[in-house]
Amino acid sequence: MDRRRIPGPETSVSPIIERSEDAKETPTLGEGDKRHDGRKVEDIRPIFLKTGLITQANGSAYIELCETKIACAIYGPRQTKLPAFSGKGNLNCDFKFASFSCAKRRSNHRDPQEKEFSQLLYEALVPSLRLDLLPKSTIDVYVSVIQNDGTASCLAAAITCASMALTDAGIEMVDQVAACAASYINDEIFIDGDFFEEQRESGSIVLSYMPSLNEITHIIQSGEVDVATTSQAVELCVDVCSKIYSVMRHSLLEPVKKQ
Amino acid sequence: MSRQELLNPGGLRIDGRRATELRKIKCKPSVLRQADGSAYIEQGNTKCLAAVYGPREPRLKSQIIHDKANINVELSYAPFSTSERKRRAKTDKRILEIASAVKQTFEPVILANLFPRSQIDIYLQILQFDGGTVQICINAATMALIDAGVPMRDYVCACTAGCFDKQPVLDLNNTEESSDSPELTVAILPRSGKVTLLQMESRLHVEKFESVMNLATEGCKAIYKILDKSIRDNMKDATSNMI
Amino acid sequence: MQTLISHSERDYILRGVESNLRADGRGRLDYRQVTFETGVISQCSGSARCRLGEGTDVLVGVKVEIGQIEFDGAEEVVGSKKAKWGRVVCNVECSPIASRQFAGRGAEDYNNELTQIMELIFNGPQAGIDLEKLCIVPGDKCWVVYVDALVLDYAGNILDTIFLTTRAALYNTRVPKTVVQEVEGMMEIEVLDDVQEAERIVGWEQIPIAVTLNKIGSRHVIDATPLEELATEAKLLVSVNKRGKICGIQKSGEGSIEPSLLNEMIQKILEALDVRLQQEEEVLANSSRGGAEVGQINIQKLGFFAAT
Repeated sequence: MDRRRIPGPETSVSPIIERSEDAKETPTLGEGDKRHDGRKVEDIRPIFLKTGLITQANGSAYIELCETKIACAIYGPRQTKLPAFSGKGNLNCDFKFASFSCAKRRSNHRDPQEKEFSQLLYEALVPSLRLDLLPKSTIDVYVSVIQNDGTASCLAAAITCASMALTDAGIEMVDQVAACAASYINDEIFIDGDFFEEQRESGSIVLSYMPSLNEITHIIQSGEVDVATTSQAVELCVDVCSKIYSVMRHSLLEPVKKQ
Repeated sequence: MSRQELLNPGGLRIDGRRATELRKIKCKPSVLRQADGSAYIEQGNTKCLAAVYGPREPRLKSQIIHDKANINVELSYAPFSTSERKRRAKTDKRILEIASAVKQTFEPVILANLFPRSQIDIYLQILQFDGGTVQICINAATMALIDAGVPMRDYVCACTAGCFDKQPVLDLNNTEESSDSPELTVAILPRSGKVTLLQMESRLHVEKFESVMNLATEGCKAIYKILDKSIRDNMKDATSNMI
Repeated sequence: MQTLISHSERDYILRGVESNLRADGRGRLDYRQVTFETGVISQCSGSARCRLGEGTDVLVGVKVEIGQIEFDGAEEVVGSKKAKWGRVVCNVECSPIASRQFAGRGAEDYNNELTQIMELIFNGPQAGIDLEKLCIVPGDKCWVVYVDALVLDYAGNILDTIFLTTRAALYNTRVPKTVVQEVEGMMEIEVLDDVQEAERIVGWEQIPIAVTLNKIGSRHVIDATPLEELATEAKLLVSVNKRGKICGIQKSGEGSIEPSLLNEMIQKILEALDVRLQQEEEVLANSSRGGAEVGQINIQKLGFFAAT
């Protein structure tokens, strides 16, 4: 028996789906260098940030970048359940896409991407925290994505949001972390790309940064990119992170000023 | 699937062996740096790597046995080991069954009472699979245990045998295994001839049983010679480097 | 694999790195010796094993199998491009043989972390592989390249070794030729068994490799040992192909990096990788002739697969 011979499946589809010419590519850059939603390449989407939404949590934050909506809750610091002694506090990150948040339904199980994002979230946040002051304790960070409009920008927004929530929980830190994503399309850098742009990108970068200390806490880049473009993107992202930082500060101070 | 001719009129099997011929065995102890003892063994196209850690402190308190060492066996298949790629979960029932068979084989042979409240870990990794998992696992584990210097009563050597049309055959490969012929796995202590494992999952006529069993035992003894030679050669190499 | 390091050990490593002399006598940017062996698993379409120094041992098996093209979830315009693409699927498994830490479910999270980094670099056009050439029937069937890495022994720097081995395994891979016929409106695929007809993966030259730089104190080292990895504050993995383009960056670890230092580290890695790629290529090109040695990389029959 020839195992490798595969007869066509019963539900065969017609081959060659060379699309007709009428399905034209919408240009990523329109007139006057405007993107499809009217932004310029270096502009981010308007940010809405608010802390203290979840009453049960020790700290919480909510972020909205147009269609991207993310909520984050912090529980702790509380006693570690593990029997082993640790001189440093333990940061436990859990990143979750709501099952209705993406174009395709996601399952309730934690999939490999969510596990990866949890890990990235941990690595981005941990340099900013003074965990050495919290021995034998655990801080739980729960991020849930309510609506996803571009996965890379979603991760960046989640990092920013989690840092805000940690601040709201009053956990001692050396600096806040602001994060920013960018898409590479046709050798140009599109800051904060949304789902439409992400579909057309050849690569992306997510950078998280502590603005007052001038330290990068995390970087991840995908796709084939020039070295020069990469360093340009890093510079741009650092600038944008500083802008996001001012928004973060503003939304922290505003409620206090009102009181 | 059409029934293949497992034994041709000339008395040769699909891979060209005679009925009572073993597949080619290659083996080597001490192949890994991290492990306390390790061994690599190849029987035809089945390739297995074994590592032994211990005796050492058990990771979980529940694993402590107060008067002897706990023997822990873990088996995993590489995803590319079979002809079609397949990832097997570590909790696969079939894998756990084989691991427990290996564990039971070694329990009476290892002098576990010398190491109370400790644990000996035997990790087995199948790199390429062509039949005879249990036998190769036992052979690899024996070599690794000896390499680790774990005190044992004797070697444990395992071999399979089957029966095609009343003709007993030795050391089945994957194609022969998946045909409907019976398969018997035997593990013996070669010096005393005692049996520590006997496994058969299909039907075999009582009258045939003895001849198949004898053939498998002969196979075990042949394997013992190969393993023993490899261990001794390795020891010689090690001692010659000492001066 | 240890998880704890004492303060004095950390200090010892730190000072060694500071004075450009590491515990095993290497400088900060020196590699350990790499030894390759290709074509070790006969049931694979391609395989390679790599040993780093006296420790880390990685086996990569590549299997090509016919699978379904995946392009749903993408918009129509993008989907039509993806409908003609084959796929690369990566998986990393740390065998308990390498370390007790990997026993039971111990390696699950680590496996996932390594797998995701592999996917970041190999899943997509940046991997260099000509995905269109892997397509058999557009919109329906394609070759799926399964890259399975198995870590057999551990002495630090697993990731770099995996990438190096994967490139060698993909070089060793042969994809069978197919003949597609339309029979009564159904597409029938015939795979030619002839080994001579099987072809190397198109675009092999552009498959990237990666190097990890470990930041210890204010300095950084290449090819860290397990103890050095424990003393590491932050790691930076950069992947580069032959065209000199970056194919992926990922930082890991619990420390942070200054932007200017980040740029410097990327530059260092680029220089290191350039040499590395050339050496590997030369060695692989000579692999058919048995042994070969270029720089720190050599190819030869290794320990256990050559057992007698």
